[in-house]
Amino acid sequence: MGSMHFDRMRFVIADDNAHMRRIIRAILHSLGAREIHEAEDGAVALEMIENQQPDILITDWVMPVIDGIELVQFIRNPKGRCPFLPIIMLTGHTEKRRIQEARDAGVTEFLAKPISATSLYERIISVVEMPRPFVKAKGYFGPCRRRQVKNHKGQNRREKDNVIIDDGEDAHTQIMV
Amino acid sequence: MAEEQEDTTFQMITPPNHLKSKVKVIGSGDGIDMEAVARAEAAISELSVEFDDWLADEVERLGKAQERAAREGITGEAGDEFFRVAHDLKGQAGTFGYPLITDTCASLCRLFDSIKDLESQPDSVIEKFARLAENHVFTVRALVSGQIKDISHPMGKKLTQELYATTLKFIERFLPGEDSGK
Repeated sequence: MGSMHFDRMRFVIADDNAHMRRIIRAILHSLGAREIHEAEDGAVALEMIENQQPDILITDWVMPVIDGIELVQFIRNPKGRCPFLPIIMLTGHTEKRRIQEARDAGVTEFLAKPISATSLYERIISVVEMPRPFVKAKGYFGPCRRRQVKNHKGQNRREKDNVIIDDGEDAHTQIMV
Repeated sequence: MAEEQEDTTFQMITPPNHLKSKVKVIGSGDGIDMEAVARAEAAISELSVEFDDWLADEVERLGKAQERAAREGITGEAGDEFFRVAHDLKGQAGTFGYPLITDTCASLCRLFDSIKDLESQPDSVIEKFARLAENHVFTVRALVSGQIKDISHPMGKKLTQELYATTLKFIERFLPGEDSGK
């Protein structure tokens, strides 16, 4: 793998703080991104996602109107327009239960503030290089919350009895009972 | 029967990965272009001349949010706004070169975050809570006016550590079992 540049990728940044949006924009721009859209709250971001069809959403958690978690929940609707959109949640929340909450909502990557150019770059590379499979289950639709499958030492119940039921269009689906 | 099937069934879906085709890969390495990182850090550094002004804006916002909470009550929407501003500053101050302000705001957020149902607490506890929150704002102002950025400043370190210790004691004494931020 070589070094990655993002000049053909479209980003949406959702953050109510204009200063933080400028910092993120400056980092993305330096990494090659040219198409960067900014939303000052979750509601604007939702509309922007519908209209712009971004490749990656970078969102804050605490925002007025619709917060970051609600935004993720709106996006992770299997019947929505872009349910698989990679979402990097950028937030000052660092408590375990908060991270769990974000993961349960369907966040792809979690990045704690204060951010650095390297940490944001690494998260974007991770989204591109190691995309998570999605899980559709009762009460949850979103990226598989067990990224470290290869290192998982316990019994991997999800490898049991899996049957490929759908290979249509470009999504690849397995059903497991 | 059908319901049981639904309960125990889930689908694994491999979404289409269009991103790889959109990414330009140059040379070899682990994906990180150190020159691009250097450019990004330089871009942040260019912005840093504005950080003091930005920080001043944010600290003013924090002060106004606290004053509003003092006027209207810390348990309602004013308190929510106070938390949002503190949370914002927690996330930004480190980037602006003031990690001790991040620590102070982290302590303030911990205080807010530890309480599920503040309005049901006795008035005396709410008053103490509001006073402790206000002390965090005083501390942030003191750090800014003294240009105290990190723990290399002994007084700044002592001030923020004592404030955090007081916050933890408050949570433990008045809101036992409420703190789930660990």
